[in-house]
Amino acid sequence: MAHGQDSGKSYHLECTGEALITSRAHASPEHITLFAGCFCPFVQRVWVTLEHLAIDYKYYEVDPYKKPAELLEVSPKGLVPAITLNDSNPPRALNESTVTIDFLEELATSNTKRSSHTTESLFPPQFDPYARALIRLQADNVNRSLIPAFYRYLQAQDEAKQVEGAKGFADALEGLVALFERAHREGYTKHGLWHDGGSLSYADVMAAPWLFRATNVLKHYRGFVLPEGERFRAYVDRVVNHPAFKRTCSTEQLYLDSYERYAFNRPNTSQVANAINAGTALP
Amino acid sequence: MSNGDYIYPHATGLAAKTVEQRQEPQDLVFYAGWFCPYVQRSWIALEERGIPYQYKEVNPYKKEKHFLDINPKGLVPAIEYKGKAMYESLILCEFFEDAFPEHKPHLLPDDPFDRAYVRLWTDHVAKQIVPVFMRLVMAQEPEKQKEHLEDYYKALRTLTEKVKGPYFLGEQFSLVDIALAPWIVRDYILAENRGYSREAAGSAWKAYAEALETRDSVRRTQSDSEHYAEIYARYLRNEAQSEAAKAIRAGKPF
Repeated sequence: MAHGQDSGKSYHLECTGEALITSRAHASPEHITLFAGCFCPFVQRVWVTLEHLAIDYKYYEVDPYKKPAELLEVSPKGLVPAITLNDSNPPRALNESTVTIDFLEELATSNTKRSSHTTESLFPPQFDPYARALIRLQADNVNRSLIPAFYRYLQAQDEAKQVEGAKGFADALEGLVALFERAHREGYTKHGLWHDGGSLSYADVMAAPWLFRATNVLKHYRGFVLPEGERFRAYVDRVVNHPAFKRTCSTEQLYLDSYERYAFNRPNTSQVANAINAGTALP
Repeated sequence: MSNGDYIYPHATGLAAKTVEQRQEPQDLVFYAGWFCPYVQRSWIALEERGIPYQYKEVNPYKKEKHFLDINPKGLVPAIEYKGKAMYESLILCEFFEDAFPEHKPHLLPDDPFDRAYVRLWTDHVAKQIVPVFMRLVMAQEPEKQKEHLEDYYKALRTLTEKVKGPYFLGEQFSLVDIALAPWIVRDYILAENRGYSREAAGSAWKAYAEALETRDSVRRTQSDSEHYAEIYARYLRNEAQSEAAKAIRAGKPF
């Protein structure tokens, strides 16, 4: 049920905790600039990708709701994340987190612009197209079902809607697990933290920020408890504790403060929130 | 099953010829509904790239056991490749790129940034154009129809600004064109019922739409329009029961 009253807290403008350390370590100009918001889950998954694939970047905090001109220049809808590639003049820009992650993966596996010798990849290799498609299907499920369900749950105000939202989110988690289990049954266990000894996959990166926010934001504002099941809880544990992910996490209070506006469904909280309220596709 | 649920059982016109040519058993089985625009995306991709496949029609009201065994959600388009199933129209297109690298043309460029650019605008088609088309068809009140039509034109104009011509990237036919084409060839439904015209979206849009609908792979996967009419009549009355229609009604992304 709704936790207390809206205390009017606002979103943060600077990382805290481990994320602050990481952002400060990436403050110098680089080939790639990440236009970021410290609380934003879509930013986080691109950030995790940069960290995991050891790609050099500069972390550049912007206030996405103020829509500064420099952000609009690189991201037409003024959304974060956006990246610029600074080797051309003017720099080329990309937005849309899924497209950006695909790009970074392809950049990394073409062996350029890595700061250290690493062969990490979020995908199975190209000679295994079915395994790659399965990972894409899992990622697609995250974007299509899990993420909207998260916001519907968090933004629901009356108790009936919150109960419905809780069920919707739990169902979405089940759907994702079903796809992980399918990969497991079919013997594709090298990619994906779901599998013992599996590596961080494209699908894990897609889901991670919302799984993490389920453990703090949803817990705090909706009394959400992770579904039963040792396997599932171990998976979430591996995800939130993955080194690349942890390096991009701020302390809990930052998220609780930044998400209060969603929890009380304040008008015009964000383009995402508006889309959920209107029942349209997320931007 | 009432009369309202009737769907003509197979492809007609040029699509029927294509179906006939694709009856030999192959490593790749393509499960399709001849009328489905999402199916048409993946079908166009197969035809463009000259990938050998066996076409199998899926009756939405009577799905075969084997199909459901390998693909429990029963969605089309779907494929069976060496005994394994996959679905989602755009994921299938990416799969075809990965699994058949020797077949030309490719639907994505080689350079990572260019590929990202194509994926970005494919995403625009999937998120900004297709859902609005669907909402416009299904809207019943004139106010809502007007609102969605304006949104539709806006989304089309945004895309058109980037079209190099004749296709999105210029000479190279790509995933952006494929993602969009099935809704271009169905836009007569909007013209006849929702006050849409290609001209109103601009002459550049009109030229681009004509280039897409005359592409060989698009024409080869088109059936005769009379049989689409029965299906779209249901959407126009907001009585359709496809997954897409249900999601639109429920105000959920799909």
